[in-house]
Parts: sequence; structure tokens; C-alpha cells
Amino acid sequence: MRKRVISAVELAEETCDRLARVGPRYNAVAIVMRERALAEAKRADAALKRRDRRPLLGIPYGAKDLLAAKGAPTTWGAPPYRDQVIDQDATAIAKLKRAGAVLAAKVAMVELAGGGGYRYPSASLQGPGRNPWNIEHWSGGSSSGSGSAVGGGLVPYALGSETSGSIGTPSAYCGVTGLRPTYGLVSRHGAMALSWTLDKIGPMARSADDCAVVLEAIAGPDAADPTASGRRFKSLDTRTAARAAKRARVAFAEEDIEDHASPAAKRALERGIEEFQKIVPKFTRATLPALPFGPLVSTVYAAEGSTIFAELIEGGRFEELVDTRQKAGLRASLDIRARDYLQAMRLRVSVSAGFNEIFKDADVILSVGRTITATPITQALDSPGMTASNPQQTKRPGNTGLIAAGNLAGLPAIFFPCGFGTDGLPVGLQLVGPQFSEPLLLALASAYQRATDHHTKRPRE
Amino acid sequence: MKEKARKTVTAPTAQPEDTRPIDDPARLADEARATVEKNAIEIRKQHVPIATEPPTVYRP
Repeated sequence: MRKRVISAVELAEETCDRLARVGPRYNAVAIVMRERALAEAKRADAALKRRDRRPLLGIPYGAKDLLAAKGAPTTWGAPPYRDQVIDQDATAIAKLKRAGAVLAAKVAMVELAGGGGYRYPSASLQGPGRNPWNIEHWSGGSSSGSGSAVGGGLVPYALGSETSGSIGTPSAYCGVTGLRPTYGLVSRHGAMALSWTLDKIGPMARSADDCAVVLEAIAGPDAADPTASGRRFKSLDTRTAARAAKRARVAFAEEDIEDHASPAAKRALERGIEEFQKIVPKFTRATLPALPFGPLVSTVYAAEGSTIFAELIEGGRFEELVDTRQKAGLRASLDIRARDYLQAMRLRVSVSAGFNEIFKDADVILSVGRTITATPITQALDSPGMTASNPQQTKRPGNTGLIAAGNLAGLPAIFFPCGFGTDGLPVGLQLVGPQFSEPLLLALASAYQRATDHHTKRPRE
Repeated sequence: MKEKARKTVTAPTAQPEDTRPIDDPARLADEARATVEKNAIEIRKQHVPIATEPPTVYRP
């Protein structure tokens, strides 16, 4: 665009056309926002003429439909809210607008971000999220459209959200790079609340470098979100990033792959770890303390989420939700006792303490993004072998509870692709660091991506 | 972390296999309630020594 090869308006038109044409193949799109995109692109073209150099200027993106945006309904992926209009921009979207970005679409999501525990990928107003690498497999959730829209090349980046795994899973399954920020780094004003104490909004993109650009735009203070930390994000400069990669101490537990990876994913994950160690060589062994991370995180988000949606659950439109298991889960969660919620909140202190112990001797924890590749679109998500965070007792747990544990402690994580399983579907790794360690996480993932080309692979259409 | 079951926690007993279809709403409702209880049991097993406990629960 700076070289006048294409204008922002032309790019916005092409992107909207592609979202409308290809999006339905993946059930990735909630609504194409052509009118808004063209208006924002016109402003971007005018700024480009003034030699404005903002990195996101004129770049189109998609936003998970849990974020409010002017000019379109905000459905939260759920039939009872199909006509909901929230006439404001979520802070993350307002910040991207100020950065000159072009909102091209609201992208699909699992209904209510899956807080009731859904059984099938079909638990969405837009239907099951289909994986761009094989549409008979799932895109992952709950940021299903963010994963498939970026993985399928419909948009260069998208905003997703994570309560526990909702950026990580679709990033791993769709072969994209996703950044779950530290709790409070990115304002959640204008985002559907599933869990006040767990929800985070973050970028999903084609590379760690792209995630860094987006994160810089959306992070920072917001008077409208009292949980916003006020901290900003700035990438490490090139020299500091290179030094960090050489010096970083990486905690890793080999059983994450040896005991838990599926046959299809195993070899590619092992190769990914080998590649990573060539770039960041200082490996040490460390594992999370033995705590019931799965029950803890699900008790917290189920208790908070069922309270948030109590009027829906007890009202006349509840039955419109798609997934029967999710409905049962939400109803049952209304009866979680205060004692158990508070005990879970109390134990989150122990989870944080466990991480602090690890981070005395390590700068980051490396593990798999998911132990498996994307599952068939019709497969129940609670079928055996689906939940790596609840390993069978005969297996060493390693750090397979890292997604739940990291979310309980409010820690940042980056998920990035490291190859393909024997079934042709992407697999990826994750790095978790202390609070506000995003500069280091992004620098390490970027170093890996400069030395490999997994993140550049695109599915055939 | 020392694991110790409290007196108030009821250990799950073996149930006969549920023959209802897996997506039967009544079965799902029973399973969802059982999951809430199972999670509660796991959480209550975790002992927190109150003499040295921080003066607040987790604050994000």
C-alpha cells in the first residue's frame, strides 16, 4: 500500500469478497462488515497519502463475535442473541481503529464461548468451525472463526479471546500463531464476559511478529475496564531479542510428548522441540505442582459464567442454545456452592506460587500447543483421549495441565505452529512466561519462526 | 501439596452403566450435576494450611 501497488480500499474490497466467498466453507464468518471496512479503508488511504507509517494502517482484520462493534450485530455465537446490537466499539476494536486498521468481519465463535462445556463442534450459531487444512476436521474453539479465518488466509489477523484454551486450541489446530496476553494487559470493555477473573483478549495471526504489532495496538490502559493493568506492550529491539534467545532458560518436560501426544502428532511435535532447542538451547526440566487444574478452572468459569448468564438460563430463550450438553452444564453450574468457588479461588494462589517456583530457575515453560491434531467435525469433544489436561493416572502428568494452570494464574502464552502430523493437520508448541513477559515470549517465537517455515504454510483451497 | 479428604466429602460410589442415549437431556443433566460434584471433591481434597495462608484469595 505504501508503494501504491494496491490501495486500502481495494484490499478491503478483496478481503470482504473473499470472506463472503470462502468464509462459509469454514463457517468462519458471523458477518462481513463491508460498509464499515470501506469507510475505514478510505480513511487509511487518505492517511497513506500523508505518508502515515502506522504499521496496521489499512490492514483488514476479523474480530471474534464476542466483541461489540458498531455496524453489526454482536451475537456471541448464540441463537438467543442473534439480533443483539451493541452500538459501541469494544475498546480493543476502538484501539485498532485508532491504529488505522480495517475491521472487515465479525468472525464466528462457539456459543457463549463454550462456558457450559459443549459436546460438539456444532455448538455455534454459524455451525461447526471447519479447519482450513481439512474441512472435515474442527477448527478448535471457542475462537473458531478467528483460527480458521487466519489459517485459511481470509484475513491476516483476527482478535480472539481465551478463558481457558480458546486462543490456544484454534491456533494449534489451524496452524496459526496466537498470543494469550497476561490478564489485564488488554481491556475487555465491550467483550462478552464469561469469566471476570479469567477472560483475556488477544491476537491470532500468521506470525509472532504480526501478533506483536497487533498487541502493541490493543494493550494498555482503559478507564472503562477496572481490571486493565494500565501496562503497555513494546517489542524487544532486535539486539535484545537475539540476546534473549541465547540466554533464555526453558523449562520442558519430555513426558508432555512421550506420554501424551497422539500417534499422528508425536513425531512433528518432537521435531518442533528439537528445532526450538537449536535456537534456544538452555533447557531444564520442571513440572507444575500436582493440583487439579481442570476442576479448578472449570469451577471458576462455570460459577462466574452461570451467574453472568443466570437470566438467560432461567428465561424463555435458553432452549435456543445449540448444544444440549452446554445447556445442561450451564444449568448445573448455577448450583456450584460458594464454598467450592472460593476454595478454587484460594487455590489459584497455590497455582501462582507453583509457577513462581518454576520461574526461579526458568524464564519460560515450553510445551505442546495441543497433544493431538484437530478432531473430526462430528467427534464428541468429551470422548476418550480428548482432554490432555486430565491425563490417565498411568501417565506422568508433566505440564499437560499448562493451559488450565496458565489461565488460572493469569499468565501469558504464545502458541505457534511447528509442523504437521501424519494426518496432514497442523501441530504447534506453546510457551508460557511470568506475568507481562510477552516481549520475551514473542521474541522467542519470532526467533523460531525466522529459522523455520512452518508458519508460512498455507492450505490449498 | 498434601492431599487429604475432608469428612464432609462423599466419595463417589460405583454407578450402574447409564443406558440412556449419550445426548439424552436428562442424562446430560445428571452428568453435569455429577461433574460439579466431582470437581468439588477434587477441590476440597486440597489442603491449605491456614496458619501461613496469604490474607486473601486469588486476585487477578
